[in-house]
Amino acid sequence: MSKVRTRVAIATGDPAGIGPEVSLKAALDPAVQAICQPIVVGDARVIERHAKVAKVPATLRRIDDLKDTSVPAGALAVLDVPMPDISDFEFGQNGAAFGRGSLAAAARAIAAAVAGDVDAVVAAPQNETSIAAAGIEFDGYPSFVARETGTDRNDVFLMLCFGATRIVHCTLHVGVAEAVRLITRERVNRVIGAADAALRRLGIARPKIYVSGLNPHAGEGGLFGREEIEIISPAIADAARRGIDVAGPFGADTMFHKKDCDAFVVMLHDQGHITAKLLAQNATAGLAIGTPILFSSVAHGSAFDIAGKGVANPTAMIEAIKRLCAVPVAAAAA
Amino acid sequence: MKGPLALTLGEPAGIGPDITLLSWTRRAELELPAFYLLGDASYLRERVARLGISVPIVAVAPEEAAAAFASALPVVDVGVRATAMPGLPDDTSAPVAIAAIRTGVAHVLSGAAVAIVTNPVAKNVLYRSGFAEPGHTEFLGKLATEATGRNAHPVMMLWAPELAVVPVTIHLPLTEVPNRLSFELIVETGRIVARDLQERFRISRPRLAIAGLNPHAGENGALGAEDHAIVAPAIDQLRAEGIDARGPVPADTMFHPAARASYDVALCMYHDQALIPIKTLAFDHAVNVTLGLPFVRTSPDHGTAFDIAGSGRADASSLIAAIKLAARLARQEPVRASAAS
Repeated sequence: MSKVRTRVAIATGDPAGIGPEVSLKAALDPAVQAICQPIVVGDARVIERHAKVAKVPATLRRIDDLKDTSVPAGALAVLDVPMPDISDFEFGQNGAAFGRGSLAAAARAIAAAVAGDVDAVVAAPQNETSIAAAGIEFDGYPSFVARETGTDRNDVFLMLCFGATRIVHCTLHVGVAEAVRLITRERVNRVIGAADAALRRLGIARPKIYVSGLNPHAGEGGLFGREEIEIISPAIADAARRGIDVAGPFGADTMFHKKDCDAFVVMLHDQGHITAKLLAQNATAGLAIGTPILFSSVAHGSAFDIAGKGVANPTAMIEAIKRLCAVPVAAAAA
Repeated sequence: MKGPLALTLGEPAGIGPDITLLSWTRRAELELPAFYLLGDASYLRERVARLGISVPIVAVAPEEAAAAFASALPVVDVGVRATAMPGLPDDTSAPVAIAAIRTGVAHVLSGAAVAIVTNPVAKNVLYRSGFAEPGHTEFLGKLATEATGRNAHPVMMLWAPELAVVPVTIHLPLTEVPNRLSFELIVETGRIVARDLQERFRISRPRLAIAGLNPHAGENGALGAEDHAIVAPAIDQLRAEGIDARGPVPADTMFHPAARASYDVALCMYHDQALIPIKTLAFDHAVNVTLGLPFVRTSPDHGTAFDIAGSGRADASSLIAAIKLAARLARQEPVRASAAS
């Protein structure tokens, strides 16, 4: 059997931000080229313009179909997802067309993964103002990926990854009062299950998971709240009965000092994001777990202030691609 | 600074006696200020023997403590014997711990001590004995109010050279946090923090960064109403009073080095929002400082650690940091987080 390279679709994110530039830089990175065949997804005219302005030395080859095998060696395939009109395109500007364009590219890349034409999807930063201007409801990639893959949005969670640390969020972009309402035994069960499945998919044979509490000191035996006793501990016991190696709940302020687990599960956005942004500043990948596909975004923004200047740093995207490729590459080597 | 610091015994069965003894042994090397322990001298001698270390214990009156400090650990008796074995609090635990706190407050208010440094207590042990205050800090506030006749509103700040944080709500179930947060609570907390950073930490114009309650500080109401309905108006009020306050800031973006350089203290809306960053940046050397009291009070940022009490494995770093900070505050030296200086 001939060696089949892992194919990674890079959705280029907001056209006016640094997304296309970091996508191109990451796709050309020698470490990325060594482990996969990257395909850049977005409006080809916009991507060509970024390459020119940012002076990215890429030979781009437009394709309309992922089955197109005419891309010559040394060229980078650009799957064209045209926006209707780019005549007023400017770097660093918000616009409804850009919001629509960034999500259209992401949707195309996800569809390719669902169809099996690519093995994984990495999405460059979107811009939420432009998406809102387009009138599209969007509260982060996990629920977008759920929608595009026909997955129940309650089964999809964000896993932030940096270095050897992975943090899975039971609730994400909701207010604290709403988060408390959402945290049920069933949901905690689902997030633990999704974390376990994702870790196995990432090549960890027997994942170990630690779960945080919701309240100060994980409730301190019921003194500061009862969710740990009534919801989180029973959910952990449920998951353990299903054979998952899971422990907790631990106070979120001391849990992250534990080193002997493969992932932490936290209850709230800030419990995970404060930690991630303190410990890893530029190389955090955000995996949407619980879906049928491997999908990651990067945990930085579209950086309008430096868009089109050629100075954007592709480290986070390179790390995200490496992380997603770890599994298929390992499988191919076996 | 004139006069010694008063250290309270804390829970005798915890690591308080251990880390006090360890701190004393490092007094010369670390140039620690003179301090005395409020407790029970014979109990301390037993702990010295158990630990197999060489620390002379001398029972003194407070005014003799500073002179005795160089050659022995001075202990001022609080009139209650401690008998608990390490790790096993008994019926004397709560009475002796409480007596030490009461005596310490009396000493610091009378000027016999320049500041009070409290060793950890066990809340459940105090509660079992009928102690009716939510915790150590609230008890100190009550004693200060009783002694001075002026209402003290204690505010907990966790301080390390890297970061200072104030949780506006502390040991509260998260479900109660949105209801308990109010314009008044945030404004009053901000005023006390600004005043004490000015008067005690000698920061001429303290800069307060105030976190939002919700992710992304509520994102204009899309992720919860509290940030624009409660937090933002409270910040406006503080600014109207001339306090350098800003926010609501998304909590996940306010703790990287560049952000920390832009403020002197971060006010957070709930326990984990404040404790996660300080424990990440300063796991073993953060100090708990109580603002809003008519005296200086610090304490180590950890609990009684019953499992290692009397074993010699306790780490005195946080108590040492608390002793040093209390002395600097008592001397009225300018103190700020280094990231912000």
